[in-house]
Formats: sequence, structure tokens, C-alpha cells
Amino acid sequence: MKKALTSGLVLLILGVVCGTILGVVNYYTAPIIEARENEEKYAALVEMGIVVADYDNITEKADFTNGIEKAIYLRQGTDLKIAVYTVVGSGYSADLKLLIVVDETMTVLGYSVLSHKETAGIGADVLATHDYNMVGAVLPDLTSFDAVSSPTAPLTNAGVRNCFELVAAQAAMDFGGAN
Amino acid sequence: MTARENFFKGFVKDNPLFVQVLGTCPALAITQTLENAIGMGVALLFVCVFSNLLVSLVTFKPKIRALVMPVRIPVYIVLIASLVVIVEMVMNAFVPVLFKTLGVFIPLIVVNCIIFGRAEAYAGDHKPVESMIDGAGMAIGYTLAIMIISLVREILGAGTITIWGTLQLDLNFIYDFLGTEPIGMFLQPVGAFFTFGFILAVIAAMENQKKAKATNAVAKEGVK
Repeated sequence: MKKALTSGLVLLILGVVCGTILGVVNYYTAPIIEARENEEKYAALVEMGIVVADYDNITEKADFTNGIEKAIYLRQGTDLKIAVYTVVGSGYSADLKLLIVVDETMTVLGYSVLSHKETAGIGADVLATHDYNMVGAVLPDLTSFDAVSSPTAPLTNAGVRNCFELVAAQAAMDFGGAN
Repeated sequence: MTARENFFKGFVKDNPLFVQVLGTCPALAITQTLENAIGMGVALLFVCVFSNLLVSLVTFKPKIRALVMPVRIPVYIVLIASLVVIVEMVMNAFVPVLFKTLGVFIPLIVVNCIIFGRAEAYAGDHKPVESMIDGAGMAIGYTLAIMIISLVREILGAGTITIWGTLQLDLNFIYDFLGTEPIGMFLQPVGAFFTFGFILAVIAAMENQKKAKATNAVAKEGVK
């Protein structure tokens, strides 16, 4: 009995010492890891020329039911300035996922294709190279949407358009029907 | 055994990978580039040296040894796991690209036979400084071994030598000169097996040659 207690005590002391040391290391490394992870997370925004550090309140929302997978809201104080939507639309082969950035005036600041399973050489090429002429468009107006110059992939184009429509509806709610 | 012999025994004579055939999983899995091998080697060096030191410290004094010996296996595991977690956190913070490349093989250092083998076979019965020297020698020996494998694989598979980050030697001009291309298979697991097997075969052939020479010498002495 005494031996078992002694062994338990030895392991307990060792556990406490090791736990403390790990806590100290974690105290110094965790902020560095978190900063880097945020940097990676918002890399798409940085590519679109958004300076993440300009916004003091960044929140995420994921409980949508309207095709929006996730939204990141960038606020200055309480004012919502930019919304970044990850949206899923129906492509030719499967769903395609887009990242669409909209500012407070409902202007599309940029978009990028996050993932798709379109046909290589047809829909995939269109997504990789075609400019849908939506940067600068003010939602919900989609008249500038250019699907004409990529007629080989009508369903892919329809999927992309669908993404912008979903984002237009959500952005109207988020920005309080601005425009 | 002198400190020098203790240190260098892991390089060739008792090389953990090529002689003891320990730690083969990471040696086969992460040796696509020299950079990976160096990163893994540095992580293993840290864990091996300090695990040997800590194990030696907790078993060196007879009074503490008496307390630890009945539960030495969990004690060793806690010490080694703590060191590995420290390596994991530091690598994740400061060399994230390498951390992601090495992936699961960093936490798996905990169960690397070299670490536990040295703790059980050497550090538990030797003084702290001797144990650290042994750990360093073994870890460097292992690192050199995986560096050799990665060099062969990367040169044959990609025509490059990635030393660290963007510091890379491009040897593709050799392939261009020969009118051929690198053999991509060497970057796949099968390439690792081929390379490792070939090196083991060369070592075995050298050992056999050495033995044959020694036998011949004895036979000649006998004739004289």
C-alpha cells in the first residue's frame, strides 16, 4: 500500500513539474502560433488588399442556412465595414465554393474560387482564368456579370452567379439594405 | 569507454538506423528533402539529449532511483512526452512550414525506439554527462543517416538539394545534360524503401568484406 502511494506521489510530482514547464513554454509560443494562424486565415483578405489590422473587431458566423457557409465581419468599433462570405453554389459536377468580399456600400471588393470539382479543361479552366467582371459591382445588381465570354461552361457560370446572388441577399441583411 | 568513443559510437559502429535499425518509420516517411531530415534531426537531438539527461538525473542518486525504478516506464514516458510537446510547440511557433511537413512524425518522436531505447539501455545506468554525450552521439548518428537517405532521394527524385527554406541547390542541369529527367519514384515511399535497402546492402557487403579480410589474415598467420 505504502509502495503504491509512493509511486503515485512520484508520478504526481513529475506530472506537476512537467505540466508547469509545458505551461511556461505554451505561454510564450501560443501567441506566436495564434498570430500566424490568423495571418494564414486572413491571407485571402490580404491578397485582396484589405489591411486586417485596420479593423478592431473581427467576428465569424457560421450558422447560416441559405448557402452561405461562413461569414467574417470586419468592424471599426460597432460599424460593419467589410463582410467576407464563403459561399457554396451548384457547379456542373459538384458544389463550388467561393470567397466573396463585400464592403459597406455593397460593392464587391474581390472574389476567389476556394474549391470546385469542375471538369478539367472546361469548367475548371473557366474558373481558373475567366474574369466574371464582378469586382467593383454593387450588389444586388448583377448586370455586369460576364458569362458570355465563357460559354463553354454554362453550368459552372450559373454556379458562380448563384454564389453572387446568395451573397447579395445575405449582404443586404448584414448591411441593413444599404445601397 | 572514453567520452570521445561514447560520442562517436552512434555515428558508424552503433548507428541507430543503419546498424540497430531503429527509428525506421520517420526515416522512410520524411526523407523527401534534406531540409526535412535536418529538421527531424534537430528535434530528435534535443529530445534525445535532454531525455537522457533527465532519465539519468532521476535514476542517478540511489534514494531517488529507489523511488523511480518501480514506475520507471511511466516516468520515462512522461519526461520524453513533455520534451516532445516542447519541441512541437516551439517548431509550430518558429518553423511552421517544417512543422507541417514533418506532421505526425514530430509527436511520434515520443515512441521513437531510439529515445526510449537509450533511456532504458544507457541513461538509466550512467552519469548525467555520459548520458547526454550518448544521446547526442546517437541523435547525430541518426541525423546523418537520414540525411544520407534524403540526399539520395532528393537528388534522384527531384534533382535538387533543399538545405533550408529557399536555400536550394538545383542540380537539374545534370539531368538536362544527360537528356533525362529525375526519377519521381524516389520521392514516393517506395523510393525510400529502395534507398534504405540499398544502403543496408552496401553496409552488409562492406562488413562481409571486412570479415573475409580478417579471416584471410588469420589463415595466412596460421600458414606462416
